[in-house]
Amino acid sequence: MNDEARQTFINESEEMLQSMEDSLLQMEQEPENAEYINSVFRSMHTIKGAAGIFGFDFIVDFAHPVETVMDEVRDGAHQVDEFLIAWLLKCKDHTEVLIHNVSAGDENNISQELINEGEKLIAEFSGHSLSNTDDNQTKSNTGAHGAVESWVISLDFKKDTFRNGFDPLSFIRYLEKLGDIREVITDLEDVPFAEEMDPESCYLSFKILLNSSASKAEIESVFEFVLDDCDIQIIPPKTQNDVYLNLLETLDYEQEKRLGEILVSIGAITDFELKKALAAQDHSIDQATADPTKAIEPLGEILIEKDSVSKPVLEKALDRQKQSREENKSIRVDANRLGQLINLVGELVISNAAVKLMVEKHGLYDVQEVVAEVENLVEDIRDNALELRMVPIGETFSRFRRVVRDVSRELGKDIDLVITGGEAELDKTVVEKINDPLTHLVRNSLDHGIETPEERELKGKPRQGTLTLNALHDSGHIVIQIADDGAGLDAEKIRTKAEANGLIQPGQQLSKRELFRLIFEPGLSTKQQASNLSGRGVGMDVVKRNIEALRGNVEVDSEPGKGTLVTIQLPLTLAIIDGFMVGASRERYVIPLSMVEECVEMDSKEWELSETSHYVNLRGEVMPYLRLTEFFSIPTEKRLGVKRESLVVVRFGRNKAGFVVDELYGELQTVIKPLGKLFENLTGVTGATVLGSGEVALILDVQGLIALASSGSASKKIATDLAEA
Amino acid sequence: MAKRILVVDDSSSIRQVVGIALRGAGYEVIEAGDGKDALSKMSGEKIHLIISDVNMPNMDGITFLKQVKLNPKYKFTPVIMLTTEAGRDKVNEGRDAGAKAWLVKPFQPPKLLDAVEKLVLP
Amino acid sequence: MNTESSAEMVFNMAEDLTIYSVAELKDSFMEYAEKTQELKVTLEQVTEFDSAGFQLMMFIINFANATEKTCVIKRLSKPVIDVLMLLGMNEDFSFKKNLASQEASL
Repeated sequence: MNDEARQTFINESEEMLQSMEDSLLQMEQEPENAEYINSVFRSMHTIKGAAGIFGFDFIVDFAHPVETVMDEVRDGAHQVDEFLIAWLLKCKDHTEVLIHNVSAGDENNISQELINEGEKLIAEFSGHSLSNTDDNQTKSNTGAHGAVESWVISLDFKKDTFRNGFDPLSFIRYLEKLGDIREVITDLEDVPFAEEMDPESCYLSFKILLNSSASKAEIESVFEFVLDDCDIQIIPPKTQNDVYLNLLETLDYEQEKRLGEILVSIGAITDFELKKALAAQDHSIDQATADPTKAIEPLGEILIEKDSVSKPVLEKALDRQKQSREENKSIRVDANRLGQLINLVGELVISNAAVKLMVEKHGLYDVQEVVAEVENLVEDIRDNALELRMVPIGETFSRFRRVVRDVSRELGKDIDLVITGGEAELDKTVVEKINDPLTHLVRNSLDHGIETPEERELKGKPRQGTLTLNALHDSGHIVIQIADDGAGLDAEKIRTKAEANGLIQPGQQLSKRELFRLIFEPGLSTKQQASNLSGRGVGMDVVKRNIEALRGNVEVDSEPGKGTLVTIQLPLTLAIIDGFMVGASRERYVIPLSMVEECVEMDSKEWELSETSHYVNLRGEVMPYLRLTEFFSIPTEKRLGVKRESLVVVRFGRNKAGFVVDELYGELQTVIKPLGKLFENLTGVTGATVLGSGEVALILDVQGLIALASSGSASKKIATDLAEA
Repeated sequence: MAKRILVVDDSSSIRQVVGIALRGAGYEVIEAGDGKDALSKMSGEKIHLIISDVNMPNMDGITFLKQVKLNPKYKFTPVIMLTTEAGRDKVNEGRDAGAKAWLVKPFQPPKLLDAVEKLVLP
Repeated sequence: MNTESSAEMVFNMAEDLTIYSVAELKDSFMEYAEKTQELKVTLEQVTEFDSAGFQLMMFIINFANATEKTCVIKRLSKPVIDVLMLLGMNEDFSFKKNLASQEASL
């Protein structure tokens, strides 16, 4: 190309750019004026055309998409707004730079950087326009104008991906629908390069840079079918993190939310990520329950580890959560009024059950849907009403600071109190009733458990002893742990004492756990000299009784010289439970659902009763059982032919037992009505409930029944042992 | 080359709606009314994706799927199972039989198309 | 469909280069690779190409590197090019945009 033609091109282009800038500035004043829009379009169109003739492809490549956008603006597809004008001005500037390259004679040496810059600029617009077309997204994407930075999506496919019928390339292609794939890094590291490579196994992993205004959940949904076949990580662009931070800043909490809920609500993590993190936390709770030295990993840390959320966003969310807690305005309400409300909700649950029953009875199918909706609402109301009475246990724990300080001083001990899990919540009525047993247990630890500094030093322990109070939620229960690093329980002394008191037969075989459990029996104290604080071990039996009255359970574990751990398990509330209804003869009984392990249908070959030894054998697992008709001495109806019984396996703490019943009715919500004084001493029953039909069903005291079932079979076993001897 | 999808459902109206959506997106569609019908219509043809209902007369979706997966030709063919909320318990059985993608009925055609395109592009 | 002409010793990849055929194709490729130091693979017949097919291609290249054989992959068909473009690997195969059926040497 000769220099003259080149100069013409440059001059013309510069003219065009100048007119473009003028029009843009006018556009700011009159955005609706079509003349300016046309003028901008023409400028870009002319430059593109001329550059094409001269073979300046790098200019064509950039001008073409800009021209397309302007064409769409002319058609009314995009609004003329501040963003558009600002963007077009930047495009004009960029074109100018490109043309300067031509005038400098550098057209054959266009740097990659410059080209990238152009592409970035184009992407900036497509990112913006996407976010505008989707109304739901607009809000969460405000401030994301410059979404030039990319999402980083890591996909690590598992071996069976192909075999399961999935083609990773299909998902990546589909991803193009959500935005602009900037780069795909294919990791072939794991593809073996020799004989052992199985071509039907998938060894591929990818890292994808995606420019998109889609939300994290939308991106994740592309992979909805391979969530199990692929490890997926979606890391938002930096700019997106700012969006999350902004959302957190402006988020208005009407009610306190959990951390996971907050992060999901602003789109920082997806439901699936939350589910996975919670599963990981459950696992860590299981470990911590088994071994109190292990700490429960906070949800936030798990999310960070999995790269589900960035640290600043997490910290901000935690901050906001704390803030909202403090900000939350509270009002004082008379506890009786709350109690009344909860009672009424209970009645509502029953009435709703009655309605449901009637609807089913009369086959009103068109009403069913409405009833189902009401049922959901009632359930929500119930949960919310119960939540009103929920208080964190931390306050109860904190009261022990003073106790520990005073008592350790009095006894000349040096004891540190560590409190964890104070945010775990439970019903206020439960909190009130747990205070006394807890005080007893803490005092026992202080008094009998932790040694004096001198004794500790002799044993090679730190002079300062530690008492730990911990609380955590575990499947509808709250678990409270009192742990000390004191002397531990002396199994032999307990045995001697128990034998002396006639609690056990001399020489009777007992497991360590069974032996420790004896300390909850009346009149057993292991300390030779009782102190004036915790007395002679009186109290431990009271502790147990109190906890059981709350439908709870207490277990003790100890290692000589190392310390003692007392674990209390309690229901979160006393008012309403989810129950499982069974029938024995004509009577109906309710078993708290959280205690039901499984139900085995009638006539199943999976279980076998041994009437003589009072054990049931379920798939090789042996456990004691109770037949409800026998236990409650219900006159059995005349049953012809085969007995049709079912087995309900219940669990309390570590103990399991089977209830043999005639009928399985299924789950229901149950409002516990205390039995009158008259029935206070009834064994095996904790309360009653009124069914929708007006009938009364008894609520079974699973724990009591397990104990009875075990002792029944235990005594039989001893009897047979003796007979054999 | 257009990708071929086999649609198995006993409801002719569902087959029709699904068929229109898929053909419109550029797929080739074979329709069958139940598992048996589907097996005879496949007869060795290359199939890129199977969309199947669970409850059908003659041969239900899961039995059909087990049969299909016996044929090495269809060992790797992706399957989308259509299920109703009530049939949730079938999901595990279906998964074992080789259906890794599920779609809950009723669905809008775009939702189906989304699911299909994630697995096989037209 | 993968024929080997003895004169040139070219491995002609089958039409269907997908999960359905990769096991078989790998076996015949390994047989082919034993006979020659200069691996030549043509892809012009490939009409169906999926992740498993792509993975097999990458295996062939890795295998050639590991065994110090030369490897020329020739005549990429449209479906193959589409995938390489998607993955941004067109550069690796040193062929230019819009030019199908270019030879790519490695």
